[in-house]
Amino acid sequence: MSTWLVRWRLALRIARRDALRSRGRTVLVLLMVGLPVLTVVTADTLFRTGEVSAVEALPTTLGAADARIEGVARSPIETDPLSGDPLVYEPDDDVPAWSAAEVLDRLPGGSVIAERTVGRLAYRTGHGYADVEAYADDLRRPIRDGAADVLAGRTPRTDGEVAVSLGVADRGVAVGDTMEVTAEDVALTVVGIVRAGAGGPERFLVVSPEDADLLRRPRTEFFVSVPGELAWPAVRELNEQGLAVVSRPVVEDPPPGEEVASGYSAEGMGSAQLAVLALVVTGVVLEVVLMAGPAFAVGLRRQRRDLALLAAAGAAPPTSAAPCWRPASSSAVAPQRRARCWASGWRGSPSR
Amino acid sequence: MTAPVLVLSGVTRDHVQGDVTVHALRGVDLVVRPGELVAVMGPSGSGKSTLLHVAGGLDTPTSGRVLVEERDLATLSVAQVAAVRRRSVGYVFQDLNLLPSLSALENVALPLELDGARGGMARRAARDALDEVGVGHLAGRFPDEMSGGQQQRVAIARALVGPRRLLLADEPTGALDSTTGEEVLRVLRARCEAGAAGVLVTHEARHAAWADRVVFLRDGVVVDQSGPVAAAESLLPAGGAG
Repeated sequence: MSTWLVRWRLALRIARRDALRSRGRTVLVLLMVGLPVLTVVTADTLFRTGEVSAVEALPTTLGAADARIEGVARSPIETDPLSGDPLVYEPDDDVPAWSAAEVLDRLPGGSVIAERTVGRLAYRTGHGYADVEAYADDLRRPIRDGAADVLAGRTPRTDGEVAVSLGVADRGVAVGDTMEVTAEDVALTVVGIVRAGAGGPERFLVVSPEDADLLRRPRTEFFVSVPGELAWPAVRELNEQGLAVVSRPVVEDPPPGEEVASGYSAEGMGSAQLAVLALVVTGVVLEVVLMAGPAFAVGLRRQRRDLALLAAAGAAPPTSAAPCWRPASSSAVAPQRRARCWASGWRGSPSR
Repeated sequence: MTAPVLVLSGVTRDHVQGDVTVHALRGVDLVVRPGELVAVMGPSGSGKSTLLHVAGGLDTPTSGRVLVEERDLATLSVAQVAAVRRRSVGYVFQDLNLLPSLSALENVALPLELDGARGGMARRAARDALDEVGVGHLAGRFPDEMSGGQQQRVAIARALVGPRRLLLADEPTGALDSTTGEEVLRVLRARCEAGAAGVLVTHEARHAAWADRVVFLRDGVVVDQSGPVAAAESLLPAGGAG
């Protein structure tokens, strides 16, 4: 057994015994240091657990498709590779909408395409109108597999039918009910209750593609399956023509930041969230220092004689300072405390 | 004649506090040989405790030489001086000599464990040392379970455990009643007769009577060295600890 190990075992034994002898103080210090740390760790864990990454949201975003494409412009654009959101483009309301045929022409031969319309739809409730996200989408198509779970009934097959999300159903809508949508109170029959996967919206409606004209502020998204895959270079080529793309292989293996326009936040927290988190952590650390500092100071006075005794018995400075780690070695203030402890204990015999 | 265990040669120690310099020791010479117990007496502030700290390497002399078992402490690093304290020098202070979180046995084994000795070997040596001072039966007790006299005996055992041969005692009976104090000094005397060298700081003449020689300090200067005590008390102004 090395000398180093023997000395550390001794130091740890002294620290452990002292911690056990002063149980109340040990518990107090552990609480003062541990509680804020536990709070931050718990909050961070909950925050990260609640966040859905782009990869985890892929089934909801793409269904069984290889990519989702949206015509944003007719000129080059740059997009966020994870969300497909345009980062750099020239907005122009007069740009003609992209058709499925046009998009298909720009994809490799053998590609399959399916479109859905995304917009807003207001439905009448007992208190007025509720405005929710709405999709004119045929979820029965194989390319849309996995985009949503059918919890009850079925998805719309023809005009005049609607499926509601669980969030809408929880507000008193059931399969078989008639739902009046738009300001004209168009009657739709509720045929099913669905739930979007991870990262999807909570409250939304799904109507059949034939009812797409009911949606306000509609825009069209194309889901495509391609032979092979739509890698980042292919995505960039589509971006050059004004098409925003979310491609499965690109989400799973994002390009390096330098290949993407500024504004790309990659995964994780944004700078604002990061700043708030830093502020919270700083506050907690400050609290730990302010609360635990006096406790350590009191303990330090008690330890001065112990340290001096160790020094008189032949402990070199590093060994005589080792018991100063007790009882909360994970504390952020431990190194500072250790230095002060050593300095005050080493400089003098117990007789002083 | 056997080689001295402790040699102080022309040792001075100045404490500088702002513009004021306090001369705690001024040209002190002292030789202590194995089997010899030397008492150091003097009034309060005469430098008795400083002498002990310098002798054991807890403090550094401003000038002069300190040799412990023929090693000049001035030529050693901090770590080497700590090693000298582990292997050659043991301290006994007035009270609170023991680490409260360690048992008597563990307190005595402390210098050996600090020196890297294996636990079993250190404990065997510690038990022998406790037996030699007559408190082997207290090995498992913690300091707060022992009387003051028992604690001082344990401290003496620690001071002389293993290869240590120089015992530096600073008022070791100061916190004890007279009967217990006499018993502790008897143990100290016995250990010196068994071959250890001892330096005993005391301000009581009856305790100095246990020593082979008495060194009188005043204002950091050795004003006299004599055999035991009686004639020397006239050199001391009225009482006082150092």
